[in-house]
Amino acid sequence: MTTIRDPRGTDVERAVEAGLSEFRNTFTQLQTQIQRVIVGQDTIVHHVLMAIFLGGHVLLEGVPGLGKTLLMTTLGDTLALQVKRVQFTPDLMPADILGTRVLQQDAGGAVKFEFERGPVFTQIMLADEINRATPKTQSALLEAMQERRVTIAGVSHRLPEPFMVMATQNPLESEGTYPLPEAQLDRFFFKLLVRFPTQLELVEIMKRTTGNSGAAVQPSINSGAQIISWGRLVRQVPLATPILDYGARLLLATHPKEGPAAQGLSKWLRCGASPRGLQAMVLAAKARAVLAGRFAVSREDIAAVAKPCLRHRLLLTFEAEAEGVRPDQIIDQIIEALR
Amino acid sequence: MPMDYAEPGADLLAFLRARRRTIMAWVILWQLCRATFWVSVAGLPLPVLGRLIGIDPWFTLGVYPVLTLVLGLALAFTQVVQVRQALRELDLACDRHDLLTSAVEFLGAVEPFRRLALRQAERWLENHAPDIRCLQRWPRETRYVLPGVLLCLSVWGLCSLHGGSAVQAAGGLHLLSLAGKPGKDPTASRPHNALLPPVISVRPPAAVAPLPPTPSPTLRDPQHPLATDPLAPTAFSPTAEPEKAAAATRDGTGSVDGSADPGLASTGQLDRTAADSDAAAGGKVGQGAGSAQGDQSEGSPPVAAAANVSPAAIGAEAHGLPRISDAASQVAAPGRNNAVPRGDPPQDSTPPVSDGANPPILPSGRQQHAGRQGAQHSGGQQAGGQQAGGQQAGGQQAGGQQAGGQQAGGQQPGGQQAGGQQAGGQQAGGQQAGGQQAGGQQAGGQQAGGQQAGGQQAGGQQAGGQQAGGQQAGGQSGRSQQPSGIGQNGALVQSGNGQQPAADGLPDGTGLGQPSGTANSAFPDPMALSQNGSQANGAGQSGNPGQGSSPGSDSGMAVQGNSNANGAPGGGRGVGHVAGGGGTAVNSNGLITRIQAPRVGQSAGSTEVHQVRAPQDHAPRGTGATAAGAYEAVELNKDELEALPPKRRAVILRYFQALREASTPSPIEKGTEP
Repeated sequence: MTTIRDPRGTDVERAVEAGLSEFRNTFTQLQTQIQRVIVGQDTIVHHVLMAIFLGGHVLLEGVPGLGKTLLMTTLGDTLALQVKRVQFTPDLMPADILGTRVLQQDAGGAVKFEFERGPVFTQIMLADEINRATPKTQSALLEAMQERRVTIAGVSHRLPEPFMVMATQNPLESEGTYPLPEAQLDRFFFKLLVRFPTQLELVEIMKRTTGNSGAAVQPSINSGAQIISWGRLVRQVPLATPILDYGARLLLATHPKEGPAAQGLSKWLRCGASPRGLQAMVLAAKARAVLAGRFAVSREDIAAVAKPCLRHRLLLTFEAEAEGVRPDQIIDQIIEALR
Repeated sequence: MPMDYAEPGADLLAFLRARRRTIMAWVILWQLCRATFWVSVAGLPLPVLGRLIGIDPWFTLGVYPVLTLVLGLALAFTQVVQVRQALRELDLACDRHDLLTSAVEFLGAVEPFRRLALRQAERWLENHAPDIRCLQRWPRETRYVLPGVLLCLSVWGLCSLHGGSAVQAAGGLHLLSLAGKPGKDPTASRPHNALLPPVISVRPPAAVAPLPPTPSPTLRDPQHPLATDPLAPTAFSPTAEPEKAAAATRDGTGSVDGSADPGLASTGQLDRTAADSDAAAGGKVGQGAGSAQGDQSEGSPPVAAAANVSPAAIGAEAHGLPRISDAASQVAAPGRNNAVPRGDPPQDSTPPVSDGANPPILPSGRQQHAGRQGAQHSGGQQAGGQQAGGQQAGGQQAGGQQAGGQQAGGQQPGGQQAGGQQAGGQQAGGQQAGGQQAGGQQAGGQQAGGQQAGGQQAGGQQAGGQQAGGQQAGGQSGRSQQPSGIGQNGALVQSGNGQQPAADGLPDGTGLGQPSGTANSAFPDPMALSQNGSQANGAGQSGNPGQGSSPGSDSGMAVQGNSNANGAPGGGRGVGHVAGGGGTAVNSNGLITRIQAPRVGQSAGSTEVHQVRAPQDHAPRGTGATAAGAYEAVELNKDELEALPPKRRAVILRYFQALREASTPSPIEKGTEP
């Protein structure tokens, strides 16, 4: 065996390996901290943390009372990040979220407009029941989510980093709601389905929440900068070309006309996922591989994150909705077809 | 786990190269299999072409492996696996395959993440490389390789070996003979040709096993003198043979229509009033047979006993009936089936009859002549006795002997009787017995007049027909097989069923009978056993047709009906039966008497059951003798024969003559015919 050593390269490798190892440990620690408060919902916690490190936004869908707000506050406490909550209502205006210019008089009596920042200027924003706001208000978040800035009166204001929008919506109540536009849906990194807790989880929830003492969490990360650095480290995980090909084929399979959709799925799909969806899949796959201790992504990583990455990006036909076909079923069939 | 930071990639490359060699070996093998198949298929015409143009077969054979090798290598060349492609041919799980795929792609990379991925893959290989196998991608043609090769070799063998020699023998072209040199015999180097000479095989004449002589071997031979039966149904029409009809009338009680048949059935010999006869018969006969009778159901004395009982013991004898059993024995003695009395009928009156020791010859399942049967049974004797019903008659016949006359008829007054039954006789074993009866009975009735026609037959025929039904021994129901009298008894008999008389069958048999009633007894058959005498009065009525007419045919078991005493035409029809002993008799009153058939070996003659072929098939034709006649003849002794009316006697004699002719082995049997 060749034993030529590259001192410089070797050091870098060691540094990278150490950084990734630290990331895994921190991630595991954060997850443990959050799970001290949030009973069950391990997958939700895992994906939410993953989205934070990757700079993505999360759309949580679930009935009220499942701990979505608690998860957000706990996450903020654990990561030592600033958290703000906005309850979306039909009369909510974009300025209520983004902020507005107000006329203020200074000490000298001079009057001028000053920008009053809205709740979007935070590190973690909880948009509760986001689908109750009008599309106009909902679209106010488009720039913030994608560009991580807010432009008001021709002046752009950058949002703090890390910035994450965690929106919730109730799948049951449809009256007085405004479905999110596809453009905004596509900006969510993950769409997570919050399941109802099991009996054991319910018992544990009662034990933890009906007493006088609540579980306290300790910050595991000193600053948001560390989150960003780890996020950048994860992005360096390489993907072999066959893996990327697989991801591309998977994404194209969601398109009824453009891609080789799995047999019989075309009638259920009105529109497939955007390239942003593939980006989300690849990034999430990298994070998954790193968290699994691997330095290369496999097709299994892609397939494992396909559902949370694509389910909200698939537009189903009327027939599919009428027959109760869910996006997850379609994704499963596509994955099976590509296997 | 800390990693070894040595330069990554070397181990992976070594692994891939090793696997590539293995994979290429497999690829060559796979492609050779594919090439073998295609060469075999595509090369099928090659031997044919080689034969046409005279190419040496061995050269043709040698072409195959060469073509296969070339084609296989060519196909393998098109599928050369590169080092980086070796992973595609390895049997790996999805995640492991991706790990190695990424590592292969990262070979030579300097980026730390890629190098880490490569090192990680090599670490995994260190532990799992021996477990990695190559994918077995056998081409689809592989499964057809062996059949293809065999087919090709077969074609080559057929075309080259045989064809080659033929071509060369014919001076064909020999363009590419590998073994051949100028002036050398091309076949000398191919010893296989010598092993396969073109021989036109001529099958030697197969020895023709002589067929067992049969009384009527020429039935299927239109040229044979016996091929036509002058007494066939068509010849029976009264108008056709008025003389016979007239004779029958004379022989009988004199009454043509409805007159009782003094002959067999109701012959005066046995006459009694119906009532008497019934009672007496029932009692006497039954007792005489040693079996309890009286009750039909019970009935049946052991056959052996019945067989041994002399006719005298039977009610029939008491009435002076001829000793049927004796007659039967005479016939039987000569022999087996073939035993046909020649010249003079056997004079011996002693009844050696069918003893169990002399089994009937009739092969089961086939029908035979009464005559033969005669031999077999012996006993018909019993008959009557058994029948509880009293009527019963004769059982005598037991074996086919019975021929009509024997028994029966008498009883029935009205012709019911008939009796033809005999069947029994045929039956050899008597086992079945039962069945026959049925028919018999009818016979009487039916025939009665009409059939008679022919005089003789009449009865017989019917009988037959009727019988048929009866015969069914086995419960088959009787249908009369032979409507026309021809069928006589014999035919009907069936064996088989054996042992128990088929009670069920009877009813059917009877049904066949015709109401006509007027029987004519053409031939009063002395032999008839008739029992009850009912006939007596019957005379005018229907006699037993059966008997009368066809004496032999029906045979005898007479049974008879009872009731109609006086014959009302068509009156009752009794059936009786006996056949070798067992049987069921049904009288006109509907009573059914069962006679248990003797078991094989128990009693002489009566023991075996044989099927008898329908008389039509066996009756010698062209001799004027009918099956019925045959039966009859066999049963008669000299005195009895002479006692017959001239015409009747003539018929019997002609029958004997026909049998003699028929017994002469045909040229075919002698094996002289090519």
